[in-house]
Amino acid sequence: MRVDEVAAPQTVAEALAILKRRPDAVPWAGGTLLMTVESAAFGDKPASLLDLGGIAELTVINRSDRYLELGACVSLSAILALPRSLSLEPLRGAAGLVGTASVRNLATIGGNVAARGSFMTCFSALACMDAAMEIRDASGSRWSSIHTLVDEDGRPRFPRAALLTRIRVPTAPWDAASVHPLGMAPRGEAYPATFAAAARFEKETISELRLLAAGKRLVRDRALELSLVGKRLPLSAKDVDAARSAARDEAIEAELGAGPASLYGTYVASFLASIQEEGR
Amino acid sequence: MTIDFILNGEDVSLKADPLERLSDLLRERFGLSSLMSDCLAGFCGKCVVYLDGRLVNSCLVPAFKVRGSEVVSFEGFKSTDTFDAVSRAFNDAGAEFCGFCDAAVFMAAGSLLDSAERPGEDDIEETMSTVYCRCSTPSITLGAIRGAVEAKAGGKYDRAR
Repeated sequence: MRVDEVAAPQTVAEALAILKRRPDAVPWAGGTLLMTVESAAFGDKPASLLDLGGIAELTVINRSDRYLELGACVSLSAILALPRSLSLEPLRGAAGLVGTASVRNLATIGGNVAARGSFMTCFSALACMDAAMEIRDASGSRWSSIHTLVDEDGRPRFPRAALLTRIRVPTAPWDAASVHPLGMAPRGEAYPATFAAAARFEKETISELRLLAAGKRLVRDRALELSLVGKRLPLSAKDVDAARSAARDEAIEAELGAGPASLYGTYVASFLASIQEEGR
Repeated sequence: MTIDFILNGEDVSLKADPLERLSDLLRERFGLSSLMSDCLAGFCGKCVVYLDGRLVNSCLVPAFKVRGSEVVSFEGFKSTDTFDAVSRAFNDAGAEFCGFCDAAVFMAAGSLLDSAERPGEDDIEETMSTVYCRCSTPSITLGAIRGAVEAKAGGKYDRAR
């Protein structure tokens, strides 16, 4: 990447004014992805950088009875430092998978969510938790579901000349949650994909279920989820095996890769098997 | 671009490409040889510094992000009380490191002793796993840090002796 300008706005309004003038400006929060896996994507064309590090409102964490609101520049280490009493799984687990402690001091939740080339580690967890995103651009601000950042093909879709400013995470506890990398990350945090799952039970019956994998594309088989919701625990071995096959096939169809797809099926089966006891 | 920042307690200023890695700046412009830029991906942890008090991989920090900040490398860390405490704890425990990763291990341990809240077992293991070190014995290293943390909680580092 060749840089021809570095802007350092102090407010979101200033940042949006710069984006209006330079819609191609690259927002820079922690920069851990931009310095590693995404740097090659910019090639040699001159880029303008938008340093978000000086915008105090993007580092604020607010809590209400039902939600946790994270500024987009909140570091992953700050999320991991939140009280354990706060129900944050599977997000907490996903944040812990990213890099090492010193990388997480730099890496931000916004950077992880708004990565353009691939869904990063925290995306699957936030999608699992039905998080909402505040996106701001020259026309104003709007809250929308994290699923609006996924296009029809299941690939990342982040609007141009817009900023992700806050992430609202529901804190209603899940009865079971799980997150796993689907493959190795030999250099930094870029796993081929990440698995996240969450479930709630009522009277030994699955009342809500999320099963997701996110890598180059987001994989979520709602038909599979619906086929399991309402089932009484423990699930039969036949149900678990059918879910394994369906999840793996869905991931293969989404071109997640043979290895990650197989792991996805295994983790889906493992999660469903593990909730047998927790649901009772 | 002109980059002004505080390095090991001194105001410094230099011209640099905005995306030049802090690890390269510190090694090549300031001759700070304690930093090892090994993987350039935040994986090995051999280039850690304190950036405004936080332990970070300097290979992931571009020059423009350092403007107005305070950077402490191992060379600056060596003159602190925390370094003395870490050094004593490692000496007493018989922990030994090679010359390639010792600076980073000391700084990671120092970040634990300097943290506002008393670090727990998970914090110690997480933070020390920042440095990919194959030359030391993890149980001895972690034991030494536990001792230093306990000593600090008791109000005196000397208990680590």
